[in-house]
Amino acid sequence: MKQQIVEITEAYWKERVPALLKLVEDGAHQIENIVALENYYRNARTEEGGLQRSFGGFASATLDFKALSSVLQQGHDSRTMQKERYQRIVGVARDLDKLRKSYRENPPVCRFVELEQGAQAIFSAFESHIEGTARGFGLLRRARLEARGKYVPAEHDAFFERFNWRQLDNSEMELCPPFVVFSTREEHFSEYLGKLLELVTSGKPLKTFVLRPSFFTGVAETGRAAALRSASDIELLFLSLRNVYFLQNSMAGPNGLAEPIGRGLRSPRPAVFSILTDNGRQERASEALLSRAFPHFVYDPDRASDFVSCLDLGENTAPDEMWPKASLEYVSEDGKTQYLERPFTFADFAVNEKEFQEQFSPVPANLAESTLVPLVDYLGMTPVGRLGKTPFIFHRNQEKHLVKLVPSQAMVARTADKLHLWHTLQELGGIKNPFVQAAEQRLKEQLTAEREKSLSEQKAQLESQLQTRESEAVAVAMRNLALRLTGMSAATPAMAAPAPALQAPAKALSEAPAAAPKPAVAAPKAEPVAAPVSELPWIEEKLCTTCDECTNINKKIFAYNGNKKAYILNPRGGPYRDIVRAAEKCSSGAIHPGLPQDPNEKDLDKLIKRAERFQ
Amino acid sequence: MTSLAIDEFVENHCGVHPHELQEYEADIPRWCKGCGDHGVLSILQRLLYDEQVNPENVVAVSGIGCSSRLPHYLKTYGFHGIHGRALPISLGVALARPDLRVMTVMGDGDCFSIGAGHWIHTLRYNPRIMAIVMDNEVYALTKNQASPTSPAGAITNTTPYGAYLKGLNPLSIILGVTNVSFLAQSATWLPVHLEDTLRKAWHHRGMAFVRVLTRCPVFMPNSFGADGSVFPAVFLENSEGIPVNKGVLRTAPTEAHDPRDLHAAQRMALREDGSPMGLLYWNPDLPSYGEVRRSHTKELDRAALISAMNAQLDKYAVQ
Amino acid sequence: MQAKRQIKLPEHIIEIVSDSGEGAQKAAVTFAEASAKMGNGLWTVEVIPSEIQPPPHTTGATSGNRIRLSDRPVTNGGDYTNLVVAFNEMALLSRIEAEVLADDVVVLIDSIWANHEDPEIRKQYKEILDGIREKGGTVYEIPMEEETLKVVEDPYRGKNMWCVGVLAFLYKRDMDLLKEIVAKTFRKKSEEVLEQNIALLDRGYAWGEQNLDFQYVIDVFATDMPQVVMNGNTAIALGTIVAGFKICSMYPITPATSASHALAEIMEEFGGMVHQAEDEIAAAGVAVGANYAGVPTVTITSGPGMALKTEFQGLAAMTEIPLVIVDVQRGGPSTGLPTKIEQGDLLHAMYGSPGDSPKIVIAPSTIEECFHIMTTARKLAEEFRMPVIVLSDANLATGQQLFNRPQLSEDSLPPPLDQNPVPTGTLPFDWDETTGLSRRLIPGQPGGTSITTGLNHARTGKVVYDYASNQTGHRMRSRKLAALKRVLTPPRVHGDEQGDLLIVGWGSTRGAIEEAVDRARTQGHSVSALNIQFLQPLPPGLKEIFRRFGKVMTVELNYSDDWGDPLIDEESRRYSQLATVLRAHTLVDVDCWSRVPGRPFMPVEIYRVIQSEMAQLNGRPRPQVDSKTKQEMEISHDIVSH
Repeated sequence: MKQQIVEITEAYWKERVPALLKLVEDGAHQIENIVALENYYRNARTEEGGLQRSFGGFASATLDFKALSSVLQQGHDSRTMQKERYQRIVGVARDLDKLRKSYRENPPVCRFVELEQGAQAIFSAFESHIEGTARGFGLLRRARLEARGKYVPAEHDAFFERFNWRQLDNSEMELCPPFVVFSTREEHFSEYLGKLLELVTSGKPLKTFVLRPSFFTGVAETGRAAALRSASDIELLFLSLRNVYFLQNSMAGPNGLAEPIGRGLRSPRPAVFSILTDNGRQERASEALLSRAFPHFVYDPDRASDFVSCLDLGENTAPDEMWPKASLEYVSEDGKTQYLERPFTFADFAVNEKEFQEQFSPVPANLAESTLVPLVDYLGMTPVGRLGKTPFIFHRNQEKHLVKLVPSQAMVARTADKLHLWHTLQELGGIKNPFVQAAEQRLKEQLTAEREKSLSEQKAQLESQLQTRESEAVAVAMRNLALRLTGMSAATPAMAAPAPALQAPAKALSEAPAAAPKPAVAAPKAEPVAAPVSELPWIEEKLCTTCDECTNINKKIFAYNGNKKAYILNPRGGPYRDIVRAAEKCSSGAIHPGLPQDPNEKDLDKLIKRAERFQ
Repeated sequence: MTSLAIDEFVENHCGVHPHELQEYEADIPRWCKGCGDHGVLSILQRLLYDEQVNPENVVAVSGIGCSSRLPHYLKTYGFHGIHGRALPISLGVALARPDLRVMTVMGDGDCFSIGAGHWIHTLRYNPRIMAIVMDNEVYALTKNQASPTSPAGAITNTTPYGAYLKGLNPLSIILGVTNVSFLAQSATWLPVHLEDTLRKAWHHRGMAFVRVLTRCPVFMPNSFGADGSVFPAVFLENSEGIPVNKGVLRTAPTEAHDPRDLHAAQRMALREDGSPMGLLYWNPDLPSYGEVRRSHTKELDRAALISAMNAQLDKYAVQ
Repeated sequence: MQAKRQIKLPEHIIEIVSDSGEGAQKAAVTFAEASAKMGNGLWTVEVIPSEIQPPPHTTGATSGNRIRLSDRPVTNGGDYTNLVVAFNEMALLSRIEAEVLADDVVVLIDSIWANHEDPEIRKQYKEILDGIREKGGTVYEIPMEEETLKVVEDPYRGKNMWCVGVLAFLYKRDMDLLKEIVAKTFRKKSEEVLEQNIALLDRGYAWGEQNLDFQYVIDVFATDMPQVVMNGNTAIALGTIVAGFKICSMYPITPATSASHALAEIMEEFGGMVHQAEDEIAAAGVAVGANYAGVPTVTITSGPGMALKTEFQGLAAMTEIPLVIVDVQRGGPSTGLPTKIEQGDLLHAMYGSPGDSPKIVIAPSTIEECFHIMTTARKLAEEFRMPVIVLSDANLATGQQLFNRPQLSEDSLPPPLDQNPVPTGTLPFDWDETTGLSRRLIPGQPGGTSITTGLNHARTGKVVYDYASNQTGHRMRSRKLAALKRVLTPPRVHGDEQGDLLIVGWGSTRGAIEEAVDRARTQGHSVSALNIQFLQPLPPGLKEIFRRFGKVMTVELNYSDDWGDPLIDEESRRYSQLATVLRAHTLVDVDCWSRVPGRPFMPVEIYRVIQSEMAQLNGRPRPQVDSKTKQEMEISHDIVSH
């Protein structure tokens, strides 16, 4: 098991090593060239013999190299560098050469440790593991600075003195050999969690594997305790940290582990891989995935700047459903093989698990058929609605016959809990998120409105709406998540469905249509969007082509900003006439003259008329 | 990198100071007021600034003409060459120094007329060059003569009774050249669109050819319908293409177009009802001429070269 | 088998000529290579038609090679041909018409034409051979085709190797060596083809052994210096790589192209590339761009290409970019004689360009120099920041010669690309007031960002229009030539330091001129020779040297009016190109004798000129120069058989 992960990690690193070596080789080569050139300028180009050798056979019969060397030393081109810089560069060249040689012989390798060692031991192991590589990158940085003549001892000596992995940038991090921590889910969960959190929140790019031999632990509680027992969904815990690359998957993951693990190893951040090892029993692992007992997903903070796009649930079956459907094969009374399509809930999964056998009982004989409700519907009911109802699931007994089984309260609670967990993930992932859906709907409507009516403006508006909706949605989702993590009554039916949490913002949505511009009648030719006439003249910076027209008309009114775009320096810097003329001249129609600042200027009404089409 | 990520790596930029916009500005441009070239210049400066390119790693090459003065105003390495020959010079730089970025600036007469041979063949080589033609449909520096793209009837000093022939359509010619990999068109009165276009061109792997319609306020004030407001154009829309924004929508309609489809692009280039604006054709996978050639060249250090040459001499040795 | 008559010779000139495509070239090259590797002195001259496939069996179709074999190093193609192997009588006729055959020439010709079905052919065959015999030549009609057909079906694909076999017998060549070379030449062909050619070689040798009663003996000369043999274009190609050029950007043109071919074969192996541009202008443009960017790049061309590159030469001079152009000269003007030899581009190389654009012009005079000159050219271009034009010609390009194997060292390569930062504000044209020299800033150098323009510019590189700065710019660019002249050494006179007559030449005519001068000196004439390798700037001390001779004249392969021609007098006469330059440069009344025969000079032609000049200097009437007289033939004959 671990072996498999070790292999994946080492294969990943093997692919990276050549890039690292090339970086060092090139760096060393560049610096060596600088030294070689310096020596050429200092000797070969100036002294007689050197010149004779470099000018070739034809010249040796025709040129006087003594004279040549004095001619070439005429003039002000001193091409040699200062002594200090030269010595620094020679030093860098020497160190780079050492580095190159050592990398050629034995390039950096991955390191694997166990969580048991304890955080402190691991930290120091990590520091010594990455120290060498980091120093190498420091050296390359120095080389680059020296090559461009940007190395300022006053500024850089100190910096490179204390240079360590914390200064590396993403591209450099990618070329550091992975440091992997293995951890197996232990009995003392809180203690274990403590260690784990200490690692992950340390900010060190540790790659921690949480190996889960089974997707649940301990014996199920019963009664209220079961309902209130906080399922240890450490996955959500890491999501709440937000800066951590997190992968949850199982060895039975349909698409294999190499790719998602590779991305995690490559990430410049700490990464946690929650892997269901499950003693290698394939079908159960994939059923666990199916029943939402153990959803697969990736949270990659570098994917985007918003939470929703960072979270990827794609690998789960029917990610936008609550429960995926699965068919149950059984033999009917008359001996025919039949299939039953039913939502595959956690209970449907658990019923085949030895540990859960006693959580299911046959339907009591005295129970009225009418009081039986499929578990899926039962979960949706309010506490009041549930009164006098008994949930059941279908099951195939030894005789392959279809029977109804009643799950225990604890099992109902667990199923509800899984449902809620799944729903939380969906919300966070932006799937089936009522807010997002509403906003998307609105966006679609607007998009179909005629394009002539300043399309991009609407897009902008709607996208911003969409964003606010999303962030609201995520906020709410995070709120729920917070509730869960505090372990508060996660299983109570009311919380199972997110509905109540959603109501308040939903209202805000209804105002959306008003916000959007009204659709216009289709016009053959595009019309400028009417903007309200402003008092003062103004310029649409984006449209300015820096053509000097306006600044040539009146530099007291118009000027360029740091972005080489025109702006109004002073609306009273000159007559309104100049502003109007500038507006007329402006090739991109960026100038809006506004209203005259001086009521006594002559021909004002004429000017105002001329200004109209630019307002 | 996300905002989250950025915070994590603030410290590492010690000593590597970001470039200021001013670092890309040389002399005060000496173009006429109202000339579109001003806009192209400031966009290029902003582009280099946004990309934080080291000024010394850029070579701006130009031919002869008003627009070819641009390298004088750009504080990078600049090569103001000879009429029609900007492309061979650029190819030389690109071939010799893959570590440099080459921007080639030409006028319509420069590229489409006296430099036509180089124009066609450099497109075929597909070197990593950002080639910009500022097309004002006239020879301006030599004081108003007809250029290949001057529209029929254009009154110039060489066509006082109006240009006799229809103006040349460079777009359809470019898209007829084997190995062409990037063609876009924009205009100086569409600064936002133009900026997006040049940014897209900057990131292209091979030869990015951009035709920029540029109004000459002195000799061709009415080309492209003065400020472009009545210029018959159509904006190409595609997720891979140049974003269509408010600024452009004021002037012309848009149309969906797939820049990966050469034949669609060729049809688009030939259309007469409106000049296509945006990304006409894009093949990001075509390797540049430099990549192709260097994939065949061996890397030898000095000592290895000499011993290899000694081996060569053995072939001619007399025993 | 009876012993063969052994004829010992100091040297012999052999021609193998056939219809184009019959392989006389390949035969000659094989024979020459073997001879060179055996250690004979050698010079070959190609005989090429301008078309690929001219109508066969016509004088225009003649293709082949001329090999001068000697028991000592030779520097030129020599005089008249002593032995011709002709595949048909028209090929032979073309050589007679070219006036290159000695009167006592030995001819080996395919007997098949004697009884050809076409009476016309039989007739002309007879007439031509009779002509040879009348003049005193000897003809051997040999069964080339007949013998060849015993090995291959198609005689056009075999005669040549059979003939090499015959020559191998005649000149006692090392057959094993020959077979090695044949094996190398046909390595790309099938095993069968190779076997056939070896067989033909053997049969040719055997045939000679049975049917010819004499053999020529030409000793080899001993040298402790290891030697190489190649033609001038190959030498330029190898020299280009050793000089550290990374790019050769060219456009196909005869006779320069074979240099680019040689480069294309190997340059990628050496980390460089040959870029075939869309035209000559672009080829120069790419070279300018690449050199501007700091990567040594050469462009190789010939006359018509030089005309097209003029524009970029001006730009390179104005922007002070090191641009190395190799001009393998051919016959001009215009398309002229594409495959033939001329030295017609000197003035164009020196002055071709609008305005004043100083360039360095140098000319190799031997194939060895073709190899070494490329490093010198690159260094001159870089250190003096100006275009350097290397004037080779079709004679050096296709001629093969032995020379000392070059001693290679890394010193011939350029230093690493200078990307060092320079202080901000460093000027791109910071001319030194005295020398005009300045440091070239290379793109990529931090702090060096600046504009380079073909417009008149100040030290800052920025455009300026005022008269003062234009004057300064010109002065500084021109001054560099003066600075270079300061470091040139005066050329060495071949022969006595003073005397009656000094023959001045440049480029590939050196060998012929010096041989002719030596010959005249053995005849007691007081004459010396001077070869000029730096043509711009000219080496110092010329006036001083000229002063020590009664008469100074140039001998050149380009056009000049002859004294005594109608309308030609002191005022109207147009001098040959070097003469024009020397007259202007030294104010000495330098005379000239030049011809445009499209082939290299024979020493005897120059010898004749010397004779006539000496006669005139001694007040005797000038002998006729342009046609052979019995008396000179004797002289040239003594030379051959002393």
